[in-house]
Amino acid sequence: MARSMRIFLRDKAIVGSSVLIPAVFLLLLPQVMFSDVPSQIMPAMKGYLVIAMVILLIASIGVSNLAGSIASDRDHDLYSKLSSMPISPWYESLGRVMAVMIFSAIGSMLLITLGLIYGAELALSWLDVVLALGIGFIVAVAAVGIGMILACVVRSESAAAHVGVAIVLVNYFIGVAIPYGSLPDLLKPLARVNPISSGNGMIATLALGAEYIGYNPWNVLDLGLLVGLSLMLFTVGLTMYAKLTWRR
Amino acid sequence: MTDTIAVKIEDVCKGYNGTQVLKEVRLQIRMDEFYVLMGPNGSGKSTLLSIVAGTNPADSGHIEILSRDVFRESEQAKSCIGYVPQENFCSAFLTGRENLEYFAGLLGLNKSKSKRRIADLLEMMQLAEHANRRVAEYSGGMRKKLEVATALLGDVKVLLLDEPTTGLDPGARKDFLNLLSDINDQGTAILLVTHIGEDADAASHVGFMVDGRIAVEGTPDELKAMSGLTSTIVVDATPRTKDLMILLASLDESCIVEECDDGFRIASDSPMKLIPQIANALSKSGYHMHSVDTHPPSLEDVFHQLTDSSIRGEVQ
Repeated sequence: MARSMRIFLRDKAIVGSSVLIPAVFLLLLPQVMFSDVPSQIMPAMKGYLVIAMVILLIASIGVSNLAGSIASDRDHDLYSKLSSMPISPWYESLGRVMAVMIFSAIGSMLLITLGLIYGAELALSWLDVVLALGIGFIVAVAAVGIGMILACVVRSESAAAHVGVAIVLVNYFIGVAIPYGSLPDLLKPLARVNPISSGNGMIATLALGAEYIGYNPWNVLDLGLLVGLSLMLFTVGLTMYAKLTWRR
Repeated sequence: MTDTIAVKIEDVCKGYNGTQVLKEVRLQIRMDEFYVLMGPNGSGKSTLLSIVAGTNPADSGHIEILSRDVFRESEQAKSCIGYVPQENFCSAFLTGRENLEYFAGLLGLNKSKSKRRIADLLEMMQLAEHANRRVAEYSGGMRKKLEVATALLGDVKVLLLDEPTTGLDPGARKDFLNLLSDINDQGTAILLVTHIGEDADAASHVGFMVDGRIAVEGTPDELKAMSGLTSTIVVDATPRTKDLMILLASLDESCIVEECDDGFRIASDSPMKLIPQIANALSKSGYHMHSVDTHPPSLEDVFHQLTDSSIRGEVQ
C-alpha cells in the first residue's frame, strides 16, 4: 500500500486531476453558475457540490489514476518482475486497493472541509454520516473495479489514463453534475443503475432530501443494485487484474 | 556446491504466432558460473530468460532451478531466483530505499531483517549515500544497481539479468559488470543475456544464441581458440568511406570488417600477413593511413566468426 500511496501523493498529475480540479470546481462553480441562485438556498447548492466533488475525486482516483498507474507499471516491466517472485497477485492488489481507499478518504476530508469553510450546508445526523461513509466506500469499490478492468483492456499508460478521464466525465455528467431530476428521460435509468451516480444520489438524499435530486434512491432495489453492481465490478476487475496484468 | 547445477534447461521450445522463437534449447549452468548468453536482437535470448524466470510458459521442454521444476514447483523455484527485466521497473517517484522496502514487504521479510538486508544491499551496490534520493534523480547505472539489489533481497541463488547494460556508458558498464563478478564470487550463479560484446568479457562461460538455438558455448578462452582469430586490426585512414570498407574486405575474404569509433576493425586469423597488404592497398588507392593497431579479438568478433561458421555448419 505504501508504494501506491506514495506515488499517488507525489505524482503532481494525480494530485492535480483528482484533488485540485474538484477543489477548484468547488470554489469556482458557485461564482460562475449559481450567481442568480437566491442566497437562502446557496448553502444547500454548495452542499450538493461538495458531495458531487467528493464523488468526482473518488471516481478519478479509482478509475483513471489507478488504471494509469497500473498501465505505467506494466510499461516498465514491473509485472514481469513481480511474476518472477514467489508472491500472489491477490496480495499485491490489496496494496493498490487500500491506497485508493485511503487517498479517497484523505481527499474527501479535504474537500468537505474546504466546502464547509466556503459555506456549504450538509445536514447530516451521525447515522447519516455513517451511511454516507458506507456509500462512499461502495462507490470507491466500484471505481476500483472499473479502473482495474480498464487497465487490463487498455494497454498503454497515457491511453488508460485518458480513457479513464473520459469514463469519469461521462459518469460525472450523467447523474452527478446534472442531478437525476434534471436528466432527460433516456438517461434516467442509466443514472439509477450506475454505481457512481446512484451513490451520489444516495448521499445527496441524506444531506439535502429526496426532492433535491428528483427521486428517493433509499429503497431495496436501488441499494441492492448499487451494492451488487459495485461488488460485481470489483470482483471482475480484481480477477482480470490478477489473471491478465500479471501474464506476459 | 560449485558442481551443483543451478539452471538446467532441456529441449525448451517456444513460438509466437506461428514463428518458432526457441528451438529445443539445452543449457546447464553451475553454481559458480557467470554465464553470458549473447545474441542479436530477435534471437530468442530474452524469451528464454523470461521462461527461466517463470514469467512466461514454454510450449515444451523442462527447466529446473536447483533441481526444482520451474513450472511444477514454481513457488520453490521462484524463491531461489532474482530476475531483473530489461525495463527500469523501480518507481521513479520513490527513493531507492522505499523501492527496496516495497519488494521486501512483498516477499514477507520481517521489519528488522528487511532493514538489515536493505542496508547491506545498499552498501554492496554503493548506493548507501543515495538511498534517500528519489530514483528519478538516479543515473542509468545507479538504477540498474538498485534493480539488482531488489533481485537479491530474498534467499537468491541464481541471478537472471536481461540486457542490464543497455544504455550505460563504458565506465558505468565496467563498474556494473565488476559488481556482478563480485556477486558471482560470493556464490550466486548468474545468467545474463545481452547483445553487447563487452558484457561477455566478465563471464566465466559464454553461449552464442542464433535463431532460437545456442549455436556455440564455452569459456571465453575456449571460444577464442575455437574461432581461430588471433587478433583484430584497427585501421584509421581517411577519407573514411564505404569504398574503403569494401577495399579492406576484399583483401582477405575470410576476414570480417566493421566500422568502429577509431576507424575500421578487421577480425582476421592472420593479422601479420594482412597488415602489409592493407598498407599497400591504401597507399595505391590514395587513402591516407594514420595508424594500424592490433588488439586481442573481442568476444563480439569471436561471436561473428563462430556463429557465421556455425550457420555454415563448420563448428560442431
